[in-house]
Amino acid sequence: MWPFSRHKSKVGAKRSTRANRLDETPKNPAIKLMETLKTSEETLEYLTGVDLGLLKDLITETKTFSKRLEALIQDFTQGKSSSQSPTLDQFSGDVEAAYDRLKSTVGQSPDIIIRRFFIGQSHQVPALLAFVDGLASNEMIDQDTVTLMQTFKGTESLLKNPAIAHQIIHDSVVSVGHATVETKWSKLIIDLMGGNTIVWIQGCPEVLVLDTVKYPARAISAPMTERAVKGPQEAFNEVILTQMNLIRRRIKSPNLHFDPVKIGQLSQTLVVVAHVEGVTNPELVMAVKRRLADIQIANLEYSNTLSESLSSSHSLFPQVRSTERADIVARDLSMGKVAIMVDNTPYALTLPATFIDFYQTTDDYTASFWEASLERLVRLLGLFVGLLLPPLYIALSSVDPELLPTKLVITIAGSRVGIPFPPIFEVIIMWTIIEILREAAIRLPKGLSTTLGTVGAIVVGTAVVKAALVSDIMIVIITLTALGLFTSPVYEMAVPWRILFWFVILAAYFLGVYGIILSLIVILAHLASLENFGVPYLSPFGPLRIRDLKDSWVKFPEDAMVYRPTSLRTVSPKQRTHHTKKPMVYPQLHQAQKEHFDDEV
Amino acid sequence: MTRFKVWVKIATVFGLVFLLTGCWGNRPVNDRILVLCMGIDPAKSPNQFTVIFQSPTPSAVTNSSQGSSSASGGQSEVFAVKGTGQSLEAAFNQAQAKVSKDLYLGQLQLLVISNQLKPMLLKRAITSLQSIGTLDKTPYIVVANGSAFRMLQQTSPQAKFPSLYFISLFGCVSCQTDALGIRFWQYLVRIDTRGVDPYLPVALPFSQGYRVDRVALYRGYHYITMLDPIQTTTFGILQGLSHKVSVFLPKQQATVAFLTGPSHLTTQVINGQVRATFDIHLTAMLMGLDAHTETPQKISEISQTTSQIIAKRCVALVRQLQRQDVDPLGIGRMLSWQHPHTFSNFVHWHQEYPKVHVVVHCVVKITDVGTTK
Repeated sequence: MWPFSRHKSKVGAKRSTRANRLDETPKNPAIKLMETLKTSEETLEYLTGVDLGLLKDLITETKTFSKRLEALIQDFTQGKSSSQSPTLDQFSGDVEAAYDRLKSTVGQSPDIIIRRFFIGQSHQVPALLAFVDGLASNEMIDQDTVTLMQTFKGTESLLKNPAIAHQIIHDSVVSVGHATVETKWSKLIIDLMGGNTIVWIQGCPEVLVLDTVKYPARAISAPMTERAVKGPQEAFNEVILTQMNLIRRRIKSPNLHFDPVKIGQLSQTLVVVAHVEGVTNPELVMAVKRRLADIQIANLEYSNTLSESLSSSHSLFPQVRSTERADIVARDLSMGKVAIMVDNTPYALTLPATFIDFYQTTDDYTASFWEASLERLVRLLGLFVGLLLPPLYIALSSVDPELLPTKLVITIAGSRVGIPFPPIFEVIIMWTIIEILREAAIRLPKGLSTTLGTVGAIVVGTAVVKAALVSDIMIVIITLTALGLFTSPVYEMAVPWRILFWFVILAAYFLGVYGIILSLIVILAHLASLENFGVPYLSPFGPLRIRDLKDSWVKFPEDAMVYRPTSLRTVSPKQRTHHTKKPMVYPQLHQAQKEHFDDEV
Repeated sequence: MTRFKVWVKIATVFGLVFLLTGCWGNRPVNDRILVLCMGIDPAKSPNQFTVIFQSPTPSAVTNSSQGSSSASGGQSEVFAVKGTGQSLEAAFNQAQAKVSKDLYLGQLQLLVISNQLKPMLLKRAITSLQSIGTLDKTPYIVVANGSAFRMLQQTSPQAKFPSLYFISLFGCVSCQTDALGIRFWQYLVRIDTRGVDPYLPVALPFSQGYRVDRVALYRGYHYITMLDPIQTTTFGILQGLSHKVSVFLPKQQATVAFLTGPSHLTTQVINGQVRATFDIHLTAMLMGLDAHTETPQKISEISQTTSQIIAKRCVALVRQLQRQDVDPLGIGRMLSWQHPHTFSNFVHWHQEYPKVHVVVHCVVKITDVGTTK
């Protein structure tokens, strides 16, 4: 006989006196249906050629449904008999009913562990414990929860005051660091699925939620997509707690806030909105939260799913920066931006992002400002080369050859002798090859992709020239283009340029250099029209903010960047004091050096 | 309705933008015949001219892209197509009918005109050239003494095509004795400006290439004369264009070389008489003198002698120009700038030009004594 039998329960004395209102009602309709189905099955068994599988499944489902219904009714009636107002979402205090309810719902899944046990040895109080196998720490459950509760000697107090049993257990028994209390089933189930251990105690309507979460997590590794030469080599992993820890390590101020939001009806994914109070514009934080609250989706798997909802338009250009680097998130937060982290995604989002943000890297801040400026200008040059070289080739070799120097035009004409296609087809052929090589290189294992890329580029490049499908100048141009378009340190920014490249190509083909200028004006106008969370995408160039130009295509020394970006409208505009104190004005700061020179003399 | 209007406006703007471009001539460069030189000769018929369109051969083009220096088999690297007609357009059409590809004038680098071309024909050709849309008016323009076709047939071992030779020559100021290169638009400016006459460099073919040490003088579209090499260097000094001019002094047995410097022309009107003054300040290098005999006095003496010689040559040249009633130095233009009322009172500048009193002040400063650079 199971110790939790209702007849044997000591604490369940109240229940024995409870009026059984269920007897007054007709039999549970699910049971009735199940009985009918069983009779049908017995009848059908005699008939040959009938597939009984479906019927058996239906009977199983009906059995489960019946159990669930019973548990619900039991919970409901138990709650009704108590002083509380009964609701189906409220735990009634009946452990057995809770067991039935769990077993008939989530308990059917093999990874959900439901265990019934007694608290104490002399006076045993029935209790129920549930957790998700693999998401919770077995050591914490065994040593810090079950063992301690089973050996608890003060169970009389529990029996005397069952309503505060959870408080006694919380205060005197379990040694799990973080424990909370919950009463609603809808929240308990979500907590359970998140890796918490739930403890129901007989007679106590409050349920203990013990934080025993221990995810199987990937170790913190070096960033794969945003590599830095001198910067920190820590990237986020999939566990949101680790992500928060990495940021907290960098910003220890209590003003750093992590505001949790749950998104996804099915996934119930934890999303954390991070911001620094006293720095970030509170209106920006509120706007971000409002937009997140508006998101109604079933499943939130990736942080980029949120990008669209957090962008102001369906532009080609990314308006939210996605990064795996903890240092970039910390820097953006200190600048007055908002970061969004999504559980199970190693990429955090920072916003609002401007165009120039996508051309700034960690290395810019770890190297000297000379080097940083040079690198940024190289990136800008790479962008122009990548975007404009093939269109210029098409425009100047097909539409406006008069703009080329004579020697160059003769060289181009000579290289194109025998080529059957116009220049635009050369570009299409070569770009198709490049895209195929790129796609193959991404999908293949690393060692193989390097070999394939090198061999593919050399063999295919040589072959197409020998086959007179493209000119040798085109090989040079496309190689520079492919390299130039990927000089953007953020991968998302390379995508719009790869698409707009074709827009400029077509404009060059039809209208020559005039078309290129026209297309660039259109692109620039579009960029100037973009705005997200009130921040112009082209800032600090449009509208022009001279002060913010110090950290744009050219980077000034750190001590010159006193203020945070104006466009973010931060609460505290200053991020550091003014320029470094000069030796002539503050000699005491340079005294040691002076003495050193005196010593030498 | 409002949205409809917005769309109509957008469509109209885009339509206009596309239609007004004039850039629809999409044809790869290898499908065009790149005319690098164009020559204009008088035709047999008195009212017609012959236009020569010179282009590199396909093999020369291919060799050029592969870095090969010469054509295979000693073949010519250029070919010429001729067309004759009363207008440039007619001649062009005739030439176009002889080739299978588009005769493309957008890369025209050199325009050669014969000095035998009648003013009427020259004017007609120049007017037509101005209206060619693809021609950007930057080609150099030279005069052929006699036939432009004969000049274009001459090749130089220094460059594959005649056009490249002249681009190199005129593009490098220090590569010439005098910087005589004139672009088409500069020629047009001189043609259209009152008080100045055009001059053009003359390219004379010889066995190893071309010799460019003379200028042809025009009064409007009328060919007047051709200056000899000495006069051309003097002309260059008066224009401030000299770079490698040298003067030999027999008495001192010395050479004053690399005479370089600006020339400033000023005009004055004294009692109704126009007076033009050329202030020439030249620097030079003294060569050929024994190092032991170099003294400040002697150098000063040489400077003065050279200044006098140059001043004399200049005065002689200007007087000759006045006699021939041709004003390539732009005295009239300078008068119109400095004394516009006086100039506007002259109905025909060419009637007044010979009466102008010309003074030349020349100062030669020897800055260095040494060997040839």
